[in-house]
Amino acid sequence: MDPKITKEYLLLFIYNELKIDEVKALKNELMCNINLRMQYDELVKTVKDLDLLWESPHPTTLKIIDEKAHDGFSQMV
Amino acid sequence: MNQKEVLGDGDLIQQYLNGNEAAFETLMKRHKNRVFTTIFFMVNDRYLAEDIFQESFIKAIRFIQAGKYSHENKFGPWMSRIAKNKAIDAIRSRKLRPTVTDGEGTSIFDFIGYEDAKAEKDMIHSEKVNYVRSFVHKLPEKQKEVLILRHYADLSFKEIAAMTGANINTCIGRMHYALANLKKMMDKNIMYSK
Repeated sequence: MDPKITKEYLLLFIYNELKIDEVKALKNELMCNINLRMQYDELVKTVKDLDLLWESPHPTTLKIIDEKAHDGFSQMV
Repeated sequence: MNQKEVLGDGDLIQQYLNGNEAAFETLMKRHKNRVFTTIFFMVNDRYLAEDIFQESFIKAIRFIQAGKYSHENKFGPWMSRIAKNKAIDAIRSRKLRPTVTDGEGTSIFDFIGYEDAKAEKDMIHSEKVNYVRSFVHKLPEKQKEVLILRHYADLSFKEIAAMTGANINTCIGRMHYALANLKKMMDKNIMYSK
């Protein structure tokens, strides 16, 4: 296995920060390296759990911003 | 599918500048959760987060209207940086602690989410969300900072390095430790594993 493939390197893959050729090489490595695949799966699971925490602002806040956008635009034109 | 849904951020900004006011609404809806979650995690106060969110977008509107926005910056990360800076200003001016956790590790965030009807219907899901949130808040500050900026604010590790003044490898390392620590906390927690 390429020594540069570490858990940190897997993070760059998960967060889409590798170049295309690096992505292809890593995908191949993940296909044939079970230990690496397990490390990857663990990281993905933890990262996915963070998706549970997305929050949305209150609709009133969005409405106020939208009105400001329109006011500003009217003033501009 | 609405055409605006598939337009890029740069196209939407251009449409807005050309007089299509609905384009900004689409842009805001696309990025609202990412920006809001970033602020929310930083200030730990929903009402303050709403104010900062509003101020951040209004600042962005003024910037765009003044023709100062360059799409080379990418709207999402640019918006997140504005929000992060506003949140830091608020933390400094109000002397807020970036995290609020009591001696038993209970976060004020454990009580947030009551508006989410879906979560109310599913107690296990709700508990899991609360646990994950409390785990994130227990992380060391620097690890939490990188995690929030990468996962929620959508900044690249390179951008985070530039923003925090840390080496890029240090930032990736902190993210890795943050995830490893989260995993450890999850594995230890019986309730979470339900």
